[in-house]
Amino acid sequence: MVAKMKKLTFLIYHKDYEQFLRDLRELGVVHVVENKLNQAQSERLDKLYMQWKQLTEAKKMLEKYRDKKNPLPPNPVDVEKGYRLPQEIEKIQADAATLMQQLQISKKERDALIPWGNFDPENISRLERAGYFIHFFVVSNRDYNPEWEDLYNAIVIETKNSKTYFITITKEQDIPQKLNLEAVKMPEVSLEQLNRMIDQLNAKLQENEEKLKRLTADLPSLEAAIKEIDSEIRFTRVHVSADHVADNKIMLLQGWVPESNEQDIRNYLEFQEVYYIIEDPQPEDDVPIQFDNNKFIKLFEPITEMYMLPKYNELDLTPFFAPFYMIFFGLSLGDIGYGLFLFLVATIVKVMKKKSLGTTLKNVLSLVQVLGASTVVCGLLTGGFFGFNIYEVNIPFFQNMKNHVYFDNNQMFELSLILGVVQIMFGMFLKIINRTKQFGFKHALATVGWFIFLLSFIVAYLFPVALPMLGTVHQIILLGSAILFLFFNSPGKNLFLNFGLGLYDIYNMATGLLGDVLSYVRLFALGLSGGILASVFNSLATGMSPKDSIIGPLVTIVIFVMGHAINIFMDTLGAVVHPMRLTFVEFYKNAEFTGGGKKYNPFRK
Amino acid sequence: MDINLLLAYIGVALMIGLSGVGSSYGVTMTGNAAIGALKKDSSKFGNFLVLTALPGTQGLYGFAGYFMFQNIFGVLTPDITSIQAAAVFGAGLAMGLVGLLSAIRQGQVCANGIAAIGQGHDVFGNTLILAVFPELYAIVALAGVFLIGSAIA
Repeated sequence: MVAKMKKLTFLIYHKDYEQFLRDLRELGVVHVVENKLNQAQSERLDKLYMQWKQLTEAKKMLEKYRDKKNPLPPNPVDVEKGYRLPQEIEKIQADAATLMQQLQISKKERDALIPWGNFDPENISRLERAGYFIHFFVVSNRDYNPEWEDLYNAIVIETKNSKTYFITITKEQDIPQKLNLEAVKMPEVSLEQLNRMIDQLNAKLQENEEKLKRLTADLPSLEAAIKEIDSEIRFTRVHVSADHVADNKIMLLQGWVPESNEQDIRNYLEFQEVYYIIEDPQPEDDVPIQFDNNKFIKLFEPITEMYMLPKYNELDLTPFFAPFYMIFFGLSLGDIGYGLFLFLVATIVKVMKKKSLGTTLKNVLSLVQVLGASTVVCGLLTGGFFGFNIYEVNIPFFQNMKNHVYFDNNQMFELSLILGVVQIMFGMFLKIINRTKQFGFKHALATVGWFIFLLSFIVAYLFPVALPMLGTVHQIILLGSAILFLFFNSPGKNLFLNFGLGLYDIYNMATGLLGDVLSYVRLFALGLSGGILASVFNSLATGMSPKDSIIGPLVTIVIFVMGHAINIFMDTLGAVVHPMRLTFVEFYKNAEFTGGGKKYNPFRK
Repeated sequence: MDINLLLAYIGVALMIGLSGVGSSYGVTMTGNAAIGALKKDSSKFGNFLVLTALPGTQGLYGFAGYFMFQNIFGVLTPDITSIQAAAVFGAGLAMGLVGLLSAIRQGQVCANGIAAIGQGHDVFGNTLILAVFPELYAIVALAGVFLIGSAIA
């Protein structure tokens, strides 16, 4: 069911506006109609978004540095500090970047110095002052000329990687020109000094990282700041959504409130100097959607939301597909053991984490329980239990049950198709209601015709005594219904157009219905393939294990557990998705679901 | 007759081989897309895992088909008739081809979905629903294999 909504229109004096919005937020029941254009033009909102982005980036950064196993004890929450954190982190990171750069340069210099060994550059310049010039050269081994040793006092320092590192000690300065080689420029520091510098840089970097790690203790402050910004953004979005009228003196704001909360808002507005109107929604209004379902149906709402919310004046199909979905899931999974497993896991999690669970997660777990239970019941039809068949066990209880509920593969095949026919017919029935509700009964006549047309065949097939197939009575019914869908499918248009559309409708029905019904074969095939794979894993587990009294059973257990874990994952995935498709494609199509409603999202902190 | 058994096993080979190859292609495509998308949004690994696994089912269907002939219908014996062998071959060819192509195509749908989720679009549910469209035909093929099998057993 879609909850009834009331439309609110406020006119507020601009000086009271801010306070009014704060009160409205406190009430937390009004869905404010937001103005996307105003929001896009708001500079204040842009700034807030920017700040939010910085904060979330900072949070991501800190989470990376947090020691997950034993996190630092968190500092007391200080929102101001939270706001400052992004700048602090940025500064530390900028420092780190500079240090990194220096480290790179130093490392490069060190690499260049290593072949020459450790020496003090000061000594070189002292020699230079004394009139002896030292030049450093690197040449490939075969270019090195040993004559240089006599000519220029060349001394080989090192030969490495087919390169010769040598120096010349001469009184002349123009050795590079004479040798036609380029002298290597030496850094101003010695290797030892360089090594010390690198160690220092590394230590500083380490310290930087420590600083970031220490900051992780302030994560709660950061989170508090993000939360505050979030609510500030929400507030501003609503704030800029009002239309300015009467020379910006009056703000015009629109909103929606569920009928159940109407009294709250009336009580509040009574004491305010605000002009307001509360009225029923008009057909052209874009009303936000809130579900108003009982506890059981509520569990299936996430599935509805996955596709699309209904429009306001449309029928909410959640209560109508919920039982089908439950059965379809059960048939697709189709294994008593797997069903029990899902049910138990959901129950255990629910009991163990009773306190820390949110409502959403709790509902999901309840849904898993329901689906698991349904799987156990549907599994009884075929008797699969972790790939074994309970009906092959010679226990009187099971044999007795087999006589009553067992379905063989052919019967399962038929059952899926029959379920398909039932759901499609039910969908068509809902289409009649839906059309009547939205446009009036006149517009549902053609669908009524189709419904009777198809139903008459089903009745004639099931009860040939009451209604002989294609007997006189049946023919009259068919004729009557054919008139309905051939001539009344678009009221108000002329007869020939109606007839043409009716013929087109027949074509669509003939091709569409067949495909729709056959699509339900998947229920059977999924159940079958899941069961087969489960039994394959069982035979693998027993067949592949070595004949050893200790390792043998161990291997059996490992294969059994692994195999069934994979199978449960794949089968459950299939059993969730395929019934969903049947719901959204086959059922929704036949129930003529349009959808496109927006979710009711009240303005609150 | 030996030649009958040969024909039947060629069918089995096609069934397991082609659908397995298809699934490997499919999950590789989705896996690659998932790794790329993880760079952008590493918090969605759960969604990616589910979508990555989807094209993996075809390979299992092919295997399930073989298992049905082997254990449920029990036709893969030396005294298989030529009609049975032809049926196994046909069923295997159908299952193999459908599995091969549907898994690859399904992989493409899922990979696009994964890329879109990585870019920040909330299309997980939509991708799931669209991705099972190609899968239907693999399921229908498996149902076909089953019907062929029950007709000859």
